[in-house]
Order: sequence, then structure tokens, then C-alpha cells
Amino acid sequence: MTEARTQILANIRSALTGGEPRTPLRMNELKARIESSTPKAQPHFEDELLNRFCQKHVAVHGTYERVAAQDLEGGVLRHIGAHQVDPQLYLGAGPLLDAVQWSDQVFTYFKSADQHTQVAVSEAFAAIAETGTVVLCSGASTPTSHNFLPEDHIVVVDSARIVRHQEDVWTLLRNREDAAARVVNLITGPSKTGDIEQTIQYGAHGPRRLHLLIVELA
Amino acid sequence: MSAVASQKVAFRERTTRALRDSNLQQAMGKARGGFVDKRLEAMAALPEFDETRDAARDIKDHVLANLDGYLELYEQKVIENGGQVHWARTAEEACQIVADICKEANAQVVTKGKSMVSEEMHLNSVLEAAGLKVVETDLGEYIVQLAGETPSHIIAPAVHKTREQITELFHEHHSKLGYTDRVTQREALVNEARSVLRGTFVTADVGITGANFLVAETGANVIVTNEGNGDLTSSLPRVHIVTAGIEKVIPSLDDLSVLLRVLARSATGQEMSAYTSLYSGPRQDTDSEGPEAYHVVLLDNGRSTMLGGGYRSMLRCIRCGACLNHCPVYSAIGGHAYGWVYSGPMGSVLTPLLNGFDDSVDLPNACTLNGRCKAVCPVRIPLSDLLLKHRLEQYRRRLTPLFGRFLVRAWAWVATRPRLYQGLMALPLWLMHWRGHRRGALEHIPFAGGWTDSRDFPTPAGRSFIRQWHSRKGKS
Amino acid sequence: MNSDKIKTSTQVGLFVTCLADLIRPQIGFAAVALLEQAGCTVRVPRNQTCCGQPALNSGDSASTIAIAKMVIKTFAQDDYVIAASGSCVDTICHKYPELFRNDALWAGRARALAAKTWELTSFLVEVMELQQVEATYDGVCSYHDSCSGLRELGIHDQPRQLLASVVGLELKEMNENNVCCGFGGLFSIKYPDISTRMVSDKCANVGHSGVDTLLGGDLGCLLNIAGRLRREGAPVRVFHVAEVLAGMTDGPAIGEGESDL
Repeated sequence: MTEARTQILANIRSALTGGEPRTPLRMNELKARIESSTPKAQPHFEDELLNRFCQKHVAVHGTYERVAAQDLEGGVLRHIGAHQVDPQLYLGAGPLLDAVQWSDQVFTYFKSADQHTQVAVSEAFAAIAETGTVVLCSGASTPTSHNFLPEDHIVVVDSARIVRHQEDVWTLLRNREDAAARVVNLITGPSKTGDIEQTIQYGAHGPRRLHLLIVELA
Repeated sequence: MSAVASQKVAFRERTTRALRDSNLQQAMGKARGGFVDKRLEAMAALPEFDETRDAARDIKDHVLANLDGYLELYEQKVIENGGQVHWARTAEEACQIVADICKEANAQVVTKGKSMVSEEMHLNSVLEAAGLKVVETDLGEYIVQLAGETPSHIIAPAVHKTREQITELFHEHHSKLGYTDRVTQREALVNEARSVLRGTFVTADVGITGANFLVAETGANVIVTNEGNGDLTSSLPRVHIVTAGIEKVIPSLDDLSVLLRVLARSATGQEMSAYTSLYSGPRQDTDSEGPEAYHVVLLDNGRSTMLGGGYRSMLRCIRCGACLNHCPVYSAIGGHAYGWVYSGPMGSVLTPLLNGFDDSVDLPNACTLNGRCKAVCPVRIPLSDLLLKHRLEQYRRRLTPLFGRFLVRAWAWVATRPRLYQGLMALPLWLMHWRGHRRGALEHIPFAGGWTDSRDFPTPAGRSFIRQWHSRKGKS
Repeated sequence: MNSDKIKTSTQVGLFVTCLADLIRPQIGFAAVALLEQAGCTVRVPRNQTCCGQPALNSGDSASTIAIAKMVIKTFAQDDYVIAASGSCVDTICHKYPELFRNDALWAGRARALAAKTWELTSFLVEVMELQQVEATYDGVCSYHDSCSGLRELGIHDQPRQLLASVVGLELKEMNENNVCCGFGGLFSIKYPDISTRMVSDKCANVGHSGVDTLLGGDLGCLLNIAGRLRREGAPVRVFHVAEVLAGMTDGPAIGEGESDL
């Protein structure tokens, strides 16, 4: 324990309790508060989840297509075709994505993105209807670089994984069987900046375009 | 000249310069209405907004009342995740810690996501003195760095720059990199910055970010951005360093959601920023990429002292910038006039507390106490009340000019003696009325040039209400 | 004597405010007229000068306390205390109790005063339930919301409600009507260039609104705005809202001379 740490904690205790040490009972209370934590003051809305999600996503300059699970490659090709981008796909992983039999119309890479990467295709861990947000977790086959370096980011969303509120994602994460994700990215629309004349411009440092392929399994 | 007197001169000079700076005034004028309107729209779209603000305030108050406990729980989690936590009492200590980490990593290039705490610490100059190349990656911070300036707003660092000024900056600094065209359009400027910085992101050895929040439940730091630069800074380099004030810790992910809901709406009117990210530690075996080392530097720098007094509520601050956006004084003089990294109402409250009262006498006084800051704060910090509290503290410490204090005491002494007061006022009132009743307003009043240099002063009636009333009605 | 026929009228003490007392007494008379119109009996104690804001805002709590004690004593006997100023009422209601927090006796007295002190238009509407006034004013007006009144006391609808009943008066909202005018008491002379910038912005908004009259509930703001409008040569007339509501607009407006009429 460094001297700085001891002194800072002592200063805090002195300011709060006149110097009395923090008791184990109190620490357990704090831990309990964390463990029994529940949502507070959530926005109330009754909209159907998929509709709300799509509407919010579009409102932040995102695009999407609803496709069948078998047509994911088609969805990808249509998007990159519309923007005249080469079919060099950096692929992530997920139940829907892993099931795709990619044809030879595309080149697929299973590695980190670099500064020349044009397109990455990821699968969302979950999506949030409240704000039109997709949730991506880091992992062995889901590199974080895919979310930020490419020009185009395509994300596959299983509509059954669209939850109502942000807190619902925390519940999913807490109950995950896999190891806890080191990085969780909540992504809402493509990259943007207002730093020049306080006017929004897209494609600051992250992807210029965020395109979703939403799959509704029967 | 005393510290107080020289600070005063400095403040006056900066505000005079700011008011005469047509570029600044143009830029601030453009920014003003936008922030206010967007926040209002966001509020209107969320019926639960005020309830959420109350919940946010309560979470922060609970944490502050248990700050040491939550810091220890957070630290435990970071260590469990394989990260390291460093504690710094002062800015100097914090800079040294960061410099040492960079040195041990044999770093040459450091990228930075936006971190107000790192500005507070003057981290960049320490790292540059140690031979490192430091590159700000948030577009506003990058612009400000090219200009050799400090940020003038806590979330919009280059709000004081016009597009024309940015064009010149890019042309001057990017030509040698091969970008020889003078770019004027916004889209092209953003594209050029994107292109220029891309290479830096991938070659940086160390990435330094701030943290909007530190979550005790998982040991994660949270960054809220729109550009994606913070994430590129956090995830690409070998070493990720997080610099954060000790007050940034919050208990759980559910608490995070409450605070996120008020943060973006208060700052820019958004419901969510484009990127809200949680980073918890160095790469694991289950990761395909990520930093080898993850360090959190917790900075005190006077915050623990603030816990004990009547200023604790200031530690609730989530650095949204709403108070700056709604302050008419900030809007008139811009952020640099405040003389430090924190400006606007939150800067005027924090600067005396972190930097000492002697050096910041003007800040709490250059304020009309109009209360808009208090009204818009997402965590309900009574900012204008704290500024008044600063004035009482300055008086106690005799930091304000002696003559002014004497005048007020003398005036108050008379004001508690109504008959004397009326007697003394009678002649000046009559004189001013005699001078100015025809025209209706006085163009010049001796010793009151502060008013009459730029404004007429409406002529007094000549006889006070109390005297008129009591001569009509007799004694009450 | 049939006791049913005796109407007990509401007793109020008028806190005239230092600015109205010294510079524009007409506002005091207008306030009295309105209170009487609403059915009050008005007492004007002689032992009053100021609420103490200038001392408080300069950080001098001792001087403020001395003045506050005088105000508390002077108005102890009144059922209500009314002032035609949001900032003075804010000082009395919110700042006085805080000043005496270490003195239980005076804190109690301060709270008692705070409980019965009201700004004029909010008192007329909320307590006296006045629906309309007997006044005419031929003009297009805008109302500047003074900061303390708006944010600390919630004064916004009440003056507008009463103004709506003034015959001939058209009310138009201007941009940024709730943005500070830059008066801030001593701020206006301690930081004159910032203050001037703020009041110039306010005058620009007045100009853009196209109104011929500006109204407000705080004389400090009105002196500041009228002073700048006059210096800029703008033809907008400035009155305290009480003057318009009481029909006392025949004479010069704020900053207007006899030669302007």
C-alpha cells in the first residue's frame, strides 16, 4: 500500500467520519447495495421493441435492413455494393454469423482490423430499444478494433436479443455463462463530431456508416 | 503586486480581450442557442427527466458519503481484472506516475482521449518534457493542441474557434504531411483530421483516456464519446492509462444507466452518445487483442478536502457542461478568460477550491447570481449558491478590496438608520433629479463611470417614496 | 352591527425596496393601488430602507444580518409583506433564514417573515386570487423575466395572467426572455464591460421582438435595460409591470424625460 493511497483514504475518512475507520459492517452494506442494485427512474414507453429500436437507430443516422438468417451475405453485399466498397470482410462471431456459409463473392478475414480495413461485420450481443443502441462485447473472435477502425461497420442483430432498457443489458451480462467481457461497447449510430461550428459531421474517427442486418427468427 | 491584485489584472485583461475578439464572439454566438435548445428538446422528450436528475443526485450523494469504501471496492475489482491502480495526492504525483509508466513501456508516442483531469494535471507538458510525442485525438482537443492553446469548454474544447481559424490551423500543420490544399468545408476538415490521425492511433505505444465514471461493480472505466477516438485510444496501444478524479466512482451498472441518461441530454441534447464504452483491465486469454497493461491513476488534488465542508455537492459534477452552455457570462467571455481548465459556473466554483482562493478572486464575483446554472445542473449542484458562499469566504479572508468592503459597511450602517438614510439621500436625489428630469436620464454620474460609460441612468424622482408617502399619509 | 356584513380585509405591509424608494417611487404607489384594488389594507412602515442584498452579495454577512434584523422587526406585525421585486423577496425568503442558521431565535423569526413575504404579482394572483385589473395600455409589450423571480420564486405566469386583462395591451414574448440582463446588482459596475455585453444582447432581443414597451418585475433590471436602450437611441418604453397594471402610465416611462412626452 503506497503512502499516497493511505493518506488519501485517511483524508477522506477524516472529512466524512472525523477519522473513524470504515467498519466491515459498512463495507458489507456497500457490497450489498451493489449486488442488490436495481434500475431507477427508467423512461417509460410501451412501444413495440423492434419498431422502437429501428426508429431510434435511424434517428441517429444509422441504416438497417431486415433479412432472413440465410440472407446475411446478401444483406452485406447489398450494403457494400450501394457504397461501392470492396467485399473484404473482417468478420466477428456470434450464433447467426457463425452459421453463414460465405460464398466466394467475398473475402473473409478473422483477425484484428487495421487502418486500411474497409468493412467489418459483427454480431451484437444485444440491442437496446430505448435508445437504438447495439451492444458489442470483446472476445476471442470479437475484436474491439472491428467496431472502430473500419469505414463501414455492419452489425447483425437477432431481434430476440433486443431488450427494452439499458439495464436489461446489464442483467444479460451478469448472467452470461462466458467469461465477463473485458470491453463492452454501446454503439448508437455512426461516428460523429460537432467540434467544428457545433454542427454535426459524420465519420470523425470511428466508422462512417453503421448498417444493421436485423434477423427475426420465426 | 500581491497575488490577489495580479490575478485581478489578469482576469480584467482576459475578459477585455475576449469581449473584443470578434472571432471568439462569432463562435460563441453560434454555439449559444444550439446547446440550450437541444437540451430543452431532450428534456421535453423525457417526461422522467427531473425524476432522473433527482436519482442521479442521490446516487452521487450516496457515493460521496461513502467514497473511501467505494474506491476500495473499485480498486479490488480492477486488480482482480489484472489492472493496476495508482493513487496520486497531487497533480505532480499523478504526472510522475504516468511518466514512469510510459518510460517503463519504452513509449515514444502517446495518444490521448479527452480527459479534463489530464488538463488539470498539465500532463501533456510533463510527458513532452520527458521526450514523448503526445497527440490529442478528440477533434476539438486536436484543434486546440495545434493552436497551442488549452480547451475553452469541458465538452466542446474548440468552441471558441471559427471554421476559418480551423482551416488555417490545418493548412499550417498538415501541409508538411502532404495535405497541401487549403480545406474550408466542414466535411473535408473532418475527413482530413480523420486521415491524419489514423496512422497515429495504430502506432501509439500508450493510450491515455479519462473516465466519465468508474464502476465499482465490475472495475470498469466508462467513456462517453461521439467520435470513437477514445475507444481507439483505449484499445489499440500496448498500454492503456486511465486518469480520473477520485470522485468518479459509482457503485453499480444500474447507477451508471441513471447517470448516462442525464449526462448526454444535459451536455448535447442526445439520448446516448455514439459510443458509450466500458473497459475493464488488460487483455485476457479470452481476448484476441487489447492492451497488455491497464493502469488507473486516481487523482485527489484537493477533492478529499472538499468532502468535509459545505462544498461537497460540487463533487457530484459529471462534467456535462450544461452550466457553461447556459451561463450568459461564459457566453460573453468564453472559457479562456477564466484562467484555468475548468470554466463557466463549475469552473468558478472549483478553481478557488482546487487552486486556492487567493488566485481566483474574480471568478465568483464575475457573476450575476442569475441561477441558470443551478437550474440546469443534472445532479442539482446549487452552483450559484456555492458562488455566493465563495464571496462570503473571500470576505472572511479579506481577499476583496478594502475600499469596497468599507463602502458597503458604511452604506449598511446608514441603511440600519432609516431616518439618517433618508436625510443623507435627500440631497443627492434632489440634485440628480434637477440635473436630469427634463431629459429623463443622466449620461454621466461622477464615480459611476462603470454604468454611465455605456448606459444612461434613469433620473431619480427627486423625493423618495417613504418621504412622499409619509407626508401624504402622516405617520403609519 | 351585523357581523356578517363586516368584511375583514387582508392586512399587508409594503416593502418598497431601495431602488423603488429612491429612484422610482411611482412603483410603490402602483403597488399600493393594486393591493387596495385586490381588497387589502396597506401599511407602509417608515423603518425600512433595503433588504440587504448589496451587502450579502459582497460577502458581508455581518452587515446583512444587521439589516435583516431591522426588516424582521419592522414587519413583525404584518400579516403579509409584499414587495414589487423578485430579488428582494428571494433575499428575504431564501437568504435570511440561511443567514441565521446558527441562531435559533432569529432563524425562527426569519422563517416567520419568509413564510409571509410575497412578490407583488404572485401575491395578487395566488393569495388574493385577483383575476383582472382595471387598466388600459395601448401598446405591444414584452415581459422580461428577472432571474431571482423566475428561478427562485417561480414567477412567470402570474404577471402575464394579470397583463392579459389590461385593455388594449398585446403581450408578445421575445427571444431569450429569461436570460439575465446583466444587472446583478453591483456586478453592473464591478464588471461593466461584461454587463454591457449582456444588456446589449438583451436590447437586441427587445429590438427583434418588435415591441414598443418592455415590462418587468424588478426595477434593477429595468434601470439597466432602459439605460442601455436610451444610450442606443431605441424608442422602446420601459415600465415596471405594477405601473401598467395599476394604470399609472400617463407620465414618463423609466428613463424618459418630460421632454419625451
